[in-house]
Amino acid sequence: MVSRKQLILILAVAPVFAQPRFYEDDPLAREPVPHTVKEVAIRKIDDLYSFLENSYVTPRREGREARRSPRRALDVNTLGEVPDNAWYTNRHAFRRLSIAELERGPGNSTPPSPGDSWRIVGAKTDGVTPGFIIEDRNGSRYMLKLDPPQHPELCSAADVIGSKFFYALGYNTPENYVVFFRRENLIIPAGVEYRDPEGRKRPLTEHVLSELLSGQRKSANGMYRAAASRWIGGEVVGPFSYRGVRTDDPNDTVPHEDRRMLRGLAVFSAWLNHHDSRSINTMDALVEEGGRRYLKHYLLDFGSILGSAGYAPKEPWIGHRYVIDQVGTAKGLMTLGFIPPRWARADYPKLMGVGLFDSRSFEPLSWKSFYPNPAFLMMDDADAFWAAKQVAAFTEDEIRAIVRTGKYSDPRAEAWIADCLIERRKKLIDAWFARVLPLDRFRLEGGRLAFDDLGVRYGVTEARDYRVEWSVFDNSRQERIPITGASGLALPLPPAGTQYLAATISCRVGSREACPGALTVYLRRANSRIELVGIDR
Amino acid sequence: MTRCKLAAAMGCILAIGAARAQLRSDLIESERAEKETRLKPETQPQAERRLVWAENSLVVRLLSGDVNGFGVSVGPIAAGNGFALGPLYRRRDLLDGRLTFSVAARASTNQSYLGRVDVGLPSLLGGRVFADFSAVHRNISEMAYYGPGADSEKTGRSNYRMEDTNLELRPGIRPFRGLRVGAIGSYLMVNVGPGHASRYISSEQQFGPAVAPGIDKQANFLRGGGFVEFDWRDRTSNPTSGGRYSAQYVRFLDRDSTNSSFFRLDLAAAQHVSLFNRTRVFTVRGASSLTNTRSSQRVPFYLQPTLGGSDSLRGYRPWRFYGANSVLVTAEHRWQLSPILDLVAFTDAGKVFDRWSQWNLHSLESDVGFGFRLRYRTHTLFTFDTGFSHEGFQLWFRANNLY
Repeated sequence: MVSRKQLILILAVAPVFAQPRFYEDDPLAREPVPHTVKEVAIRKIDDLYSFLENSYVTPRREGREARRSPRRALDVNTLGEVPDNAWYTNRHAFRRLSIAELERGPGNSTPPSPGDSWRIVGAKTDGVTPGFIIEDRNGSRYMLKLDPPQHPELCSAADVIGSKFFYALGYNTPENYVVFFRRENLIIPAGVEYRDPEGRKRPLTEHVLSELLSGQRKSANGMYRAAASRWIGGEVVGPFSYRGVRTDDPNDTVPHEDRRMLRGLAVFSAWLNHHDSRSINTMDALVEEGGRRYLKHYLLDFGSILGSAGYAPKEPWIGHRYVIDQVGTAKGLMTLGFIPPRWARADYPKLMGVGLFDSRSFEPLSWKSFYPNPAFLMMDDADAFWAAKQVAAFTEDEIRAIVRTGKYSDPRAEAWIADCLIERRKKLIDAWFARVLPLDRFRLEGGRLAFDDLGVRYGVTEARDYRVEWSVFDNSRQERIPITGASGLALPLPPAGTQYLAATISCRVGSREACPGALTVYLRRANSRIELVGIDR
Repeated sequence: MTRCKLAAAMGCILAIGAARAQLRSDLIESERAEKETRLKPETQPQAERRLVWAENSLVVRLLSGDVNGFGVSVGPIAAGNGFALGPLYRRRDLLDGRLTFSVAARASTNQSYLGRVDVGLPSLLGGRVFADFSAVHRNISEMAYYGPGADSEKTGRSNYRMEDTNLELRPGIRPFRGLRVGAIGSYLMVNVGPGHASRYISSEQQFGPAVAPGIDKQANFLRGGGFVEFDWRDRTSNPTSGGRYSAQYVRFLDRDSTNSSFFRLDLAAAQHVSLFNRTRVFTVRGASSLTNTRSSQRVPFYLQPTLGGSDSLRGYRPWRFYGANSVLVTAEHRWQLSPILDLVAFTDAGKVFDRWSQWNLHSLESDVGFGFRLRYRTHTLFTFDTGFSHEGFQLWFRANNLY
């Protein structure tokens, strides 16, 4: 397609335009405003295909790639953070949200108007748990999702708690509410259909509605409980894939499996036990902001996090094994089941709404989603550290506040969920902070380089000494020239005209070399000010 | 071709532009601009398209009964009678979901036939009352018969054709969750003839009416009785806890003066106990079928309790033992080998016997075996069992769970 002459010309001029390591606007806090999307097709991801591909192809493709030739995440700025974009917004870990903001999550201001009539405009059943699309008097649409009949509060609490956590962690999520309603609140206009458990469309009638509600638990005052998920804004165009890019979206230039915010989702999912973190629970929506139409990417449906499987309490293997697990099956066959795994011996409380959720059997490094997720398999230690420090940012009070939004009727259930999350958070921090040098919040204080050692702060390791080696960094050639005699945290005096400095930091714990690896921090002199510009982990 | 060249050249220019960038934002912008030149509609991969096509194909939709109620009915007509399939029409949305209706026909590879119509009122008076009506006609070409009692020989296998038509009504109530109590009323017409399998002798040539009552002359029956069932299993498919206990009493009144009136009592109890967060399940099951007649009457051999097959003695052939009464005990240990596969070890023991005084657990025929259960979520999709007994081994395949 390109002629030989053209190719020679390109190769000839390329060195002239060699790219520097850092640009003037690094580190980028926000990606440029997206290009207008002209035309996008509605994309459907077949659930069975997704299951088969990810169970049998993904481990041999992304799994092998991650082992043999791991790639760094590509959607990050020079500090290793994810700039705000259509996928992700830096929130709690970077700009602390108040308890009220955490409880509010993505909205909390527009629940379906209580006590009013809710018009059912569509309905679905997913085997055990029916759901309705409703419109309130303000014309706002919600997906009203009922709990599995024998497991009240299980999914509705999880759905709401999940939306708050994932929102605080930076993702786009719908507004989810725990709502209470009476049978007479639901109005069925003519022509509404729903799919029965066999997948056939049937007219939704008063009798059918009563049947669907018949197994539901009523409160003492005759109210039903459900999760109401507000319809996301814009025009929905189907779920996103955890691999590749959309071919019709000009802003989607980074393969999804190379996005840190999708790789790191593995850590968040492990913390919250979101085993169902697959494409079917995501959504792209064409939104218009500032006169531009672009695709915004959402996580949806958190009814199967914590101890819920979405249709019943989780089965004990969930989070510990993939659904297709040849190695585990072979082991089980060889031992004839005489050695039950740790998760099979875990204790779970019999509390309403909790399901199977605990912290004792939680193993953060080996946690597994329902089936392999390409982005999760590509996660490296730097991705995991980025995510783990966000989990660490939640205080116990903040975790308890978010769990409270699940409105468990039994305070013991609320306490159990919060306690487990706090303990799982600790396990997760211990595991991931031990795999990298967890230094963060670099700054200059009194002519010295300062930082927080998150490993020390969170009790993963004892206080340690740091060794610093300084160098001058040539930004255009991307070379480091050591500054002789410069060590310690004090800024050295570099040769005149130096614009960039690099400090390579390693550490010691006691007399033992116990640090997993060094990191390099890059500083830039700009307008007589020195600023942090990059980190290599 | 020209467009390709243009796009490539544009890409090169943009790449140079990117190299000139002074800002990271410019770099991102140029990547976007470059992509803008090669946008194309989002499409599914070919393999996914093919799978979706297959999922939506008429064959798959018929198998799942999703073509306006039409579908394919698959399943054995009777054990040992080959693979059977046929058309099915099923509706569950009649009278606003208050009435269910299905009509199905099946033919098997060994010329057995089944036709049935089912009408159900599953949830009357707020779910407390139900009523089921069924009309079933079966023409089973190769029913095995080894002779009466526990002493029958495996080598004595014969076969007969059984043709029966049963019109049955089962109304009942659900006083509380898990309990069902109901009545049974039916009219049963039976005809027995020479078996279809040429490799076995036909039963009427091997056994006379003294040994096999009713082999020479069959009767029609009025059946009446009742049943009670309590089911507190945690789930109906692949249960891990709870139990199911049932008793059914039916009186068979001979309408053709063949001295074949009797009553039959069927008792069954299954209990499930789980360990290690329901990853190990122990199941014990006991079942007994008892019949009795007045002195001048006899239970026709084709309506006697039987043992042997996928749901009783799994190490024996189907219909291996016929007798006036039967007792069966089964123990099963099931453990999760993987999220979708359970491994099972089981043992069955049972016997048929003539008199109620022989109702005990002595002189039982027994077997051991192992099997697999393929599951999806909490549902058993398929079961494979292999049973071993002193008469050899048997392989069983079922599309649901046993208990």
